[in-house]
Amino acid sequence: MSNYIELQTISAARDGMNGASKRHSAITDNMANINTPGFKRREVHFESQLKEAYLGNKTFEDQFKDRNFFDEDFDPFDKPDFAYESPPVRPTVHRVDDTSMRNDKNNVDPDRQMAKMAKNSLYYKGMSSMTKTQFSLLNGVINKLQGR
Amino acid sequence: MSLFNTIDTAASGMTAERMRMDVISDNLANANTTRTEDGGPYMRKVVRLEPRQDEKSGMLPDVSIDGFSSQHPGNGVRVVGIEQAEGKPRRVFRPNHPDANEEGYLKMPNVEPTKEMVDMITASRAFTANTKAIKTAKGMFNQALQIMR
Repeated sequence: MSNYIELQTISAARDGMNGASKRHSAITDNMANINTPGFKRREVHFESQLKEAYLGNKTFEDQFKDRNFFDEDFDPFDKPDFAYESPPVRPTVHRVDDTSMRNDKNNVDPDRQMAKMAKNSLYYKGMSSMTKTQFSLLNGVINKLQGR
Repeated sequence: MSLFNTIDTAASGMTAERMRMDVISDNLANANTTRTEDGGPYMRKVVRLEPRQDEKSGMLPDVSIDGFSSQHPGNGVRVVGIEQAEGKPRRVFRPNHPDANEEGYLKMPNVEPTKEMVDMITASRAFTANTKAIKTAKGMFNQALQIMR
């Protein structure tokens, strides 16, 4: 039973945004505790889980090897890959215990954290922008089908 | 865990840094105060900070096996209190001062202006960084709201 509304791109973007949102939480917490003695920074990892959920063991190219779009008896509605229900992607939060930047054992590096925040924000905006594009494509198709 | 909570977290950071600024100004203003109500010179104060974990988000205890933590980042920083720093007053020889003891030694506060200035810069930068975190969260939120525009 496939789900045509939840295209793989939209759910991948959603999982990416979820992970980026959690990462922003962690970075903000690190920055708030920049002067707290003994505080160890936390990091969020979700990229490998994302890859595992959507690509599994296949590379990007392998995804398209099984599908022969130019075959005569090709039926696009027969088990379409694009409507595959992906496993949930759970971001994980890690505490980085083994480094120390200062005498008070705090290991938050403000410059790196700010750079990560900028990168993460761009990533989030990119995913959100991609979702918007996907929805407008769907909208366009629906409108066309309705004769508008 | 939404972006709203990150704004709370950053706000807690801003409050903590503002409190540090207050204490630093207090230290600087009293750098030469030789007589306080309890007798003795003014002693340098510091703010004690502690990471804050909300009950909702901190469901699992922090476990540091393999650096793994609970599944939620923390909720910012909490000011535990304003305490006297460790250290003893400085003794200077100033026999004509009214607060000097019989041998002419005067107890001065253990405030080093240079150190306080450096702390002030740190606090100011941390405050700016926290406001940037709020701005970024707002930008991300707005971008997500644009999806269905």
